[in-house]
Amino acid sequence: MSRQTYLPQGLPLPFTGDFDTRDWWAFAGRHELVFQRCSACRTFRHPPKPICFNCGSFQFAWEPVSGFGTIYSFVIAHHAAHPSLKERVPYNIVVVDVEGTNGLRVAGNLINVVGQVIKIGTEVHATWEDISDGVALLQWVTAEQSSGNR
Amino acid sequence: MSGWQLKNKTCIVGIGETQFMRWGRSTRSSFDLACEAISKAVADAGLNIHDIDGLVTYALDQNHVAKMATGLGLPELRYATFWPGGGGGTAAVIMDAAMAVHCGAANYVVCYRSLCQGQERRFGQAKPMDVATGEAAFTTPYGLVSPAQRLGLQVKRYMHEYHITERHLAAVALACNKHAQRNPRALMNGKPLTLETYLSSRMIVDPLRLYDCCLESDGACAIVVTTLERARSLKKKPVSILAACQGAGARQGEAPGDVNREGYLTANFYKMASDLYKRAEVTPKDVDVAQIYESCTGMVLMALEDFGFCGRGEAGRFVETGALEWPAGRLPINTSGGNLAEGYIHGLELVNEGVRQMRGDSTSQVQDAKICLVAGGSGAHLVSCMLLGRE
Repeated sequence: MSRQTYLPQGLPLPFTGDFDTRDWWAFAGRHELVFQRCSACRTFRHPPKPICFNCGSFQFAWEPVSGFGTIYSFVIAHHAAHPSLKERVPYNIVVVDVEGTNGLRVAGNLINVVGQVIKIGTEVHATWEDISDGVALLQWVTAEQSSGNR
Repeated sequence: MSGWQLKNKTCIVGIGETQFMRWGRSTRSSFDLACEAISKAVADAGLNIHDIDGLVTYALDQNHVAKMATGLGLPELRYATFWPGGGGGTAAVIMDAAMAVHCGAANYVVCYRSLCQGQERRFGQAKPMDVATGEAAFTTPYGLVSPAQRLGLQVKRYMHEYHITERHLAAVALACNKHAQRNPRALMNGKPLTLETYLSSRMIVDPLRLYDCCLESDGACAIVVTTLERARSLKKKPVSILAACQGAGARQGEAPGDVNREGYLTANFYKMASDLYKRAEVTPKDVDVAQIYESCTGMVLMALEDFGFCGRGEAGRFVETGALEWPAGRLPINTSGGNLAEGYIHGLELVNEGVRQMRGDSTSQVQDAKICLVAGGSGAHLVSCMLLGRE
């Protein structure tokens, strides 16, 4: 089955069975965007970890977010640092400041942008790429082209 | 932090290194090169290999301590450590050795690093893996797989925040290359870099060009550490270890991403730098010369700010006036050419150059230099730094 994804197949797939992160990947597989939030001090954290870096609590909940965010930083990769990317360069890598999380940031690709027209501060919205059976990757599109509603 | 007990108690008494080569050019094994570098360092100290009773190296070295001790025929190993960081191990291994000899665990400890990127793997390429586990699962699928990409994200935001331009990044590359022209051992010796060549070089990961990124090399370095007391009877004038620090700031991460690190616009020395100066009882003004680990140019700018050579966000203005260049700059850095232009032996070649500066025999010797900063791993998850002093 061929899949339409921003980057071609061939990069290592995420291991979704890791005990610390498997619950997040299960949400992702259902296209549900949640982040781990400490039940004691309310600090968000990502990637998932068993303990809160801020207060040491082991209690947490998976909290849904709006799906909006802003570009905090980005690069354009011209050199293929993995063999599967040789025909794909240049591609972008973005860091997104996730709205409603007090500054939690995630890495991803801005998948609807061709070329190098990305700007820091651009509003983006989350989307999902199904990269293998049951495994979905959190990705981003510019907010004006997204189906997300405020 | 008070209570540092190692000021002027321990020292470096011997350094050794092999020829540095482009990655893949070595026809000898990395084990072979490690043996050569260690033998040279021991001879430089005027010691016999059988005097060595401690060995320290750091992450990714294929030549583990037990293998080296066995190969070298050490009669008794009293101290062995494998420090967990990569390039951040540059000063950490020296600190580790210094603590070991000071507390009496061992007499003469050798720190070493051998690296053959042709025989092992290229650091500029993704780590070979079938699936991306742990935190790498949140980066690798996005094609975020190399140090240059990870650091490039930091550098991009840093440039945006503080109006840093490509010419500021170039100032670092040009200074290192200029110093390499005076160092016949340097890989870039005979290949002078101009601003025009820099600006027209290909992008590796925008905003980082080819000349912003360190070399990938084959070679080995080794350093002998002992107490100052023991050093008095050795042939070489010792280079004193004034102070050292190793570790990390808050939440520096473990995967290529690290996008949630505290101090995202720093080189991860932002907390330990003040400890370093307090331990040595000096200030940034007292530092005459510095060897600052550069996996890329941008992290050097952040490191200059971390170590207080200029204010936060001011490194661009600091470097644009030639501050980093020998002989007239305020702070000549990487006087052998460094990772960018001498060779990339995971930063340990910077320690050797720091020692040469304090001995007075660098090819770009800073006149009357009394204190040299060596900073390892700029921007890595674990980093280290130390101040060397002329005895």
